[in-house]
Amino acid sequence: MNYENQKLIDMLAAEYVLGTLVGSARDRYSRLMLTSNRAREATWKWEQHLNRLASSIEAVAPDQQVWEKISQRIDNNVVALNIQTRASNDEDNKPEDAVKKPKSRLLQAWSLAATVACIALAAIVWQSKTPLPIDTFESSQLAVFKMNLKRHCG
Amino acid sequence: MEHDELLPLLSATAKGDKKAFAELYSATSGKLYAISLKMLKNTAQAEEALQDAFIKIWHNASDYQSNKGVVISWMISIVRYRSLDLIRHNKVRKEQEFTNEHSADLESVEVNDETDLTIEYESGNDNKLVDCIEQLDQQQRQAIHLAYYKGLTHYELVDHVSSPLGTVKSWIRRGLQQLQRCLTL
Repeated sequence: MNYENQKLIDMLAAEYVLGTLVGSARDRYSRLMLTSNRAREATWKWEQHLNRLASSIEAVAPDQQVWEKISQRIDNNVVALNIQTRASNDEDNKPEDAVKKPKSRLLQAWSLAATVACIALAAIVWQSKTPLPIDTFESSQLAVFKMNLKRHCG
Repeated sequence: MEHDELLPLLSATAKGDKKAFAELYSATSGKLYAISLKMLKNTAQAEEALQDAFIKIWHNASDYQSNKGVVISWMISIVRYRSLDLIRHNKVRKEQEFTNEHSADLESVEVNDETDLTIEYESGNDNKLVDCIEQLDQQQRQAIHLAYYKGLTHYELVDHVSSPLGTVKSWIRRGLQQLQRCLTL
């Protein structure tokens, strides 16, 4: 079918709006509207023409529950959307830096404190190398302490 | 239901303003429901079409552009297309129900169908359209009205007016061409 033909597009648009274009022909025309400006514009023009026919139809108030259902469906969508957005934001707001920085600072502090403690202890141990009158128990404790210090502080 | 009154409501709806949307519903739902009811002849289905149409309006309000016509025309198209979908769906379902011998399962209240072929158009609202419609042959006018108001296809029109398919198609096509010429003059 030649969709470049304006007359053809006009007639397809008219029958699409009227509702007499059905089945696969309607599906094809719906697809054409996605890609063709001409088809879309022809359809909008026919909608404006033919929908004037509806001006003669007297309004009939729908049941109140119709609005309630619409309102409910919209609220559900909004809630679902919010939940989805929040989940997505949580994912996005999990930047590694934001999570890791406090941990890294804590480790640095601990590491610094441990180093200072090791140096202080090493100094104490060095001083303790001068012979002092200590009893055997104290001497054995010092030996254990030295071993531990060597193990932990390298 | 002037365009100038509906446009700000639709614009606010596009920004997610539910109060404006409620006002838009209040201003237009009666007309849209009547159109759907006329096509579907069934209150439950007309309500379903109205509901779906307004959900679509809520989500697609930002898609409206002035070259799509006045706001009410854009909204009418949405409810008409949804009603046409339901009519076609009903036909498929009814055929299946007949096959399965469950055709008596009619839960909804049927709305009286005017079986006469009286032209339903009333003058007063749109003189140009009235003039153009009146210039059509009686058969062309009748075929276009039945298709527009009741959503009848070519084949259904054949049954309705007891004329061959080719004749019915020709009435519609020529009627639409003449209408276009007249309205764009």
